Formats: sequence, structure tokens, C-alpha cells
Amino acid sequence: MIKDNLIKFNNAVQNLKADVGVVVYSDDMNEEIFNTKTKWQTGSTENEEAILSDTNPHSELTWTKVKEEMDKL
Amino acid sequence: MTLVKVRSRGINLADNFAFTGTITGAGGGKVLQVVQSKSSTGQSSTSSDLVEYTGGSVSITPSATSSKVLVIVTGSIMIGRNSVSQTHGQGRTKLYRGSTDIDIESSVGHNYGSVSNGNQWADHGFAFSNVGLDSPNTTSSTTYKIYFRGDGSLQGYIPFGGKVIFTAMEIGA
Repeated sequence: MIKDNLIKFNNAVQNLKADVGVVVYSDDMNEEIFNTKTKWQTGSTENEEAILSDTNPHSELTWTKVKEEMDKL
Repeated sequence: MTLVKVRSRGINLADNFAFTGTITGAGGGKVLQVVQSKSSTGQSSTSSDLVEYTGGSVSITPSATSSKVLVIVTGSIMIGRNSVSQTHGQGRTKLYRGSTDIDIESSVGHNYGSVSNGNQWADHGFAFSNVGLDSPNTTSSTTYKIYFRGDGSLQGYIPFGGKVIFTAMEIGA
């Protein structure tokens, strides 16, 4: 079952930077999952498939910043 | 010695027959094998493009290149919004053979205005199913999986609850 933390994480990311594509391979969210089970969209293929990277290209979306936003929700 | 039970009115289907040879010319359509797997591993995406659900898949090794494979994937998906400007939501799942899109797409969605009572946050779950008849033309192990997405800046989650169930049946030619 998807946990509230994951829903808050996705909403927090969108609040901080709209239209960011982020994929989480978990049903929860914490700092470890943020660092090891999260991928970031860097582009799209011609078949409308997301191109994903292990590296977070958004310097403003640190775990600290995202967690602060999550705690407001 | 071969014993054949034939009566003037045909074969008595209540009799027992022990076949040791091969039946030919009986036509195709026989289910030759069935494989199933289940996964409750969660995954989310805010991408409006398709992403692979890596929590589960099903693999089958056809016994003949002429066989077809009937694939059935069922599960639940939740789609959500975080802005009242998102007036409708749509979640999509597509069936893939390996990394190849075999063009079996399922879509669920709704108008947020009718269900969110004006709330900024709105998350709703739906059942989805993808059913496809594929001709993989191989006797090598073949893996079927799904990709999913939420349109716009929506969030998509699989599974919302329960499990994603993958079933593959080899159908003889």
C-alpha cells in the first residue's frame, strides 16, 4: 500500500519545482530511499518513454529542502 | 496391440482411452502452459512519459515459434493531483515484450471537479487490466512487463493496493 510519505514527497517536489519527473522504486519515502531508490527524468524518447538518471539534476531539490516541504503538507 | 473402441453410433465418451501416440489434425488453440507471478512492490512516478514498472513481470518460454502468448496483467493504479488547475486525471498502463511496446494500452481517469469537492489534493485509485495476444516468434524466454504514466503533472502509483498479477499462457498454433 502506498504510504502518505510518498504522496507528500511527490507533492512537495511539484510544489518546489513544477513538472519535475521523478520515479520512486518504493511505496515509502525517507532519506535512504531518496538517495538510493529514486530516479530523475532527464528527457524522453520518441516513443514517449522517460529517460531516467540516478543523478538528481535539480540542485534545488535536496533531501533537506524536500523534507522541509513535506513537513508543511 | 491397439484397441480401438468404435461403435455404430460413434465413440462412447464415457469410455476410457489411453493414448500413447500423437494426435494430429485436431486444430490449434490448446493452452500449452501457463505462468503467473505477483508483486506488491510499490512504485510512483510524476513523469508524463511512460516509465517501466520494475516491481514485477512474467517470463515464458514458448515451445514453438508458431505459438501465441496470451498475456493478462491486472492491478490497481492511483492517480493524484496537487493543484486545482488540474481539472482531470488520467492514468495509463501499456504492455511491453521486453523493451518493445506491443500496443496494448489501458487508460483510467476522471474529472477532478466531480470528485474532489474543490480540494487541492486529490488521489483516487482505479483497477486496470492489460490483455494482449502476442506472437513472439521465438522459443527463447520472453518477458512481459508494463509501463505506466499519469498525464500532465499528475502522480501515478502502482499498485494502489493489493498486487499486480501477471499471467502468460502459451496457445498452440
